[in-house]
Amino acid sequence: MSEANLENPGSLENKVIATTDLPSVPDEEFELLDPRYLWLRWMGNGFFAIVIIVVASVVTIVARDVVIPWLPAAIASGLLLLTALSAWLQWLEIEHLGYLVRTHDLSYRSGVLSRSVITVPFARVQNVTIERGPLERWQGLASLEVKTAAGELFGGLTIRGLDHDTAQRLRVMVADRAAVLADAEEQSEVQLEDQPVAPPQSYPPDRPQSEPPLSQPFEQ
Amino acid sequence: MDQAPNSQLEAQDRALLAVPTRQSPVAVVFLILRFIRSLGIIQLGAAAAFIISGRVPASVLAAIPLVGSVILALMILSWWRHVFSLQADELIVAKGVLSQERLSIPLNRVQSVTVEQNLLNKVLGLVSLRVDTAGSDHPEFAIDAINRQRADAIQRLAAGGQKARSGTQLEQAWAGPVLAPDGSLVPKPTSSPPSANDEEVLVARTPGELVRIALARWPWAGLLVLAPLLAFGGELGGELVGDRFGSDFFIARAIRNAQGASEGFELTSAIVLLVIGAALSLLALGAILGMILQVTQVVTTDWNLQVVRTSTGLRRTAGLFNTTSKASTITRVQQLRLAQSVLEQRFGFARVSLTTIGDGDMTIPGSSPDEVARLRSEVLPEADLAVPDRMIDPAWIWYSLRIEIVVIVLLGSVAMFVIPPWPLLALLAIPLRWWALRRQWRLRRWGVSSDTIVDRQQFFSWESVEMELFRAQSVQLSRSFFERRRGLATVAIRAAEGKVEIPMIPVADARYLRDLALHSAESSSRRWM
Repeated sequence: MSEANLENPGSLENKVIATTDLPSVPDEEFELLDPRYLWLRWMGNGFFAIVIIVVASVVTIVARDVVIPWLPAAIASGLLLLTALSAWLQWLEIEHLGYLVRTHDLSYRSGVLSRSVITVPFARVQNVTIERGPLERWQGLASLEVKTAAGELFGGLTIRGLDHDTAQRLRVMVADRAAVLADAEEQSEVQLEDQPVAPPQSYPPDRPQSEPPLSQPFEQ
Repeated sequence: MDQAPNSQLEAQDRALLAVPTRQSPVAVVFLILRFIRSLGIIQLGAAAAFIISGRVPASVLAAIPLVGSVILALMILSWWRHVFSLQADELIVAKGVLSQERLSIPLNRVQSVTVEQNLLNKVLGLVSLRVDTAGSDHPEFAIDAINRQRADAIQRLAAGGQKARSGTQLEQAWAGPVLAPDGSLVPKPTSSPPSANDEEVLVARTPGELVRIALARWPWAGLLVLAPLLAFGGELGGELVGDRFGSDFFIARAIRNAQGASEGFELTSAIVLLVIGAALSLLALGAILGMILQVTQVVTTDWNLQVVRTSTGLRRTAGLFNTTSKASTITRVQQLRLAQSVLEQRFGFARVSLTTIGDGDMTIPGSSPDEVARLRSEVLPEADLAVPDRMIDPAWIWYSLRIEIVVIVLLGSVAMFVIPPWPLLALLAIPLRWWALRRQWRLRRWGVSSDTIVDRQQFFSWESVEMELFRAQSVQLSRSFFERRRGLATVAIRAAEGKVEIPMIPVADARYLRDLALHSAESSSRRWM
């Protein structure tokens, strides 16, 4: 859909959009993350494993009178097992992690057992930042954090494991798009007329006949 | 409308605010109270108990007043540094003890102004003020104790700024809570007619309606007021007695007591009747006490509750002792939530909650269907309203149940070692939960139109969320392993405040919903906040 040009309303295209024409998020076109990111996460895991071993050994040696001798070792091996498991899951995930940039939004795909795609429209972006921890700097990687007004947890997205150069270019692009769209929003209080989109034909409401009607006086 | 007095008033307001001012010194009292509350009354009580019992060494005792005076000095310093003024259409706030912070808030960015007057403020003729701006979800500017002329001036100028921004003519000054003859701040009385084309009263509650609202709530909810004391009483007792053996000491002792008690105990019918009678009368007493507390709480908090549509948004005023006036632009309202408990269904009214960006949603209890329709037309204007006529996949029942089965079995088997054979009763919970979850699934409906999405859930009481799609900040489509195997997905549409999440729908419909929400957010130039 072309940009609304307020100086020249005639240039606004506002075609009817059928269900099949609705832009959809194509799975195949996601850009994958840098494979070095996997090493980064494994290094983090390895570091965590070393910490567990050290703490367990220290506790075993120092507190051997108070604590059952095999307990710290048991807990430590449990935690190490979990770390190994998460490393394996991260290896599975790395082929799946990806991001997608379209004209109007940015998407990030993640997860192995529970897969999720989170999409943020550029018009909602409040903040774009690049973060680089010490390990990331060492590997030449960076994280791009995009925030909206919806808060920290799922209101925005964080793309880790980007090449530093790519991250910088992405940040500039996202910030520019967000600024352009924010300006357009402020100047126009006029509501764009969107053509209504029909719901998909293949989904009739599945309501058994014996159900009491749920429509209450409080619904329209 | 006569322009001259308004610009005169505006000039007066600006002149009044141009001089950098501090809050009233009373604000230090509020700071101290807040600090004490953050420490925790129970912790303070425990500390006092420690001191009284004489276990604290003298050096610590001597340090307490020293530490106290340092903290007091810091608070006085922070009050001294907190200065605000109005310069050229911007509210300039300077604060900070160690590092000076300078905040500048453009007046035309102010979207929500909340004025409150609690008992202490009432006595002194002061009010507290909170200002929210576009792009913030916490108060940009909060003042504990300011004189009402300044508060009114800020309100008026902010309203003027909003009007100027939205291009409407500057009309009569925006009236917040009005001054009663004795100088205190009271909500606008219902008897006064709404000004011509400026404000319209959408909702107004009489005391009788407030009592009915209170009676429609569960009586034991009123006892929640006493809950913190009850909850921490046990902790406090433990701390006082001494922590020599830790909490497992108490658990082991309790178990031994219970076992010992069950061995030497003769269960006569008289004792059983006595116990049942005592429990019932306690419940009844609790219910009566709770209802009284409930009625008192509702009547004093929501006294003269009014929702008024102003030229710049909505304003909700309420309160008897502690009066609150919360004004917000309509665009800040992200969702419309309705709820009706079983008792409220009997009485025939619903609870409306407008999810707004920032502190606190606007709640309007006791709303009739007419009022709900009026509020809906304010908050979701011209929207093609969605009808909740779709259901989620019944696999949701099994998905929710299996997690609960695992938990019940785990807890039950652990408890079997402690108190056999009672945990077997817990297995009864499983068919009960299945029935409950099935009912919840059967009564859950959602729906989507080109503009809005609605999600309605019901068990005995029901609640629903309605939201315009263009307010989406982010849209997430997720598929757990369970959902992937069945071709289902979950969609979560998040607004700046609140979200709508529809689980277990066919993945094609989930994708459609996601794409529709994105299309709405990306192609609409309507202000989402």
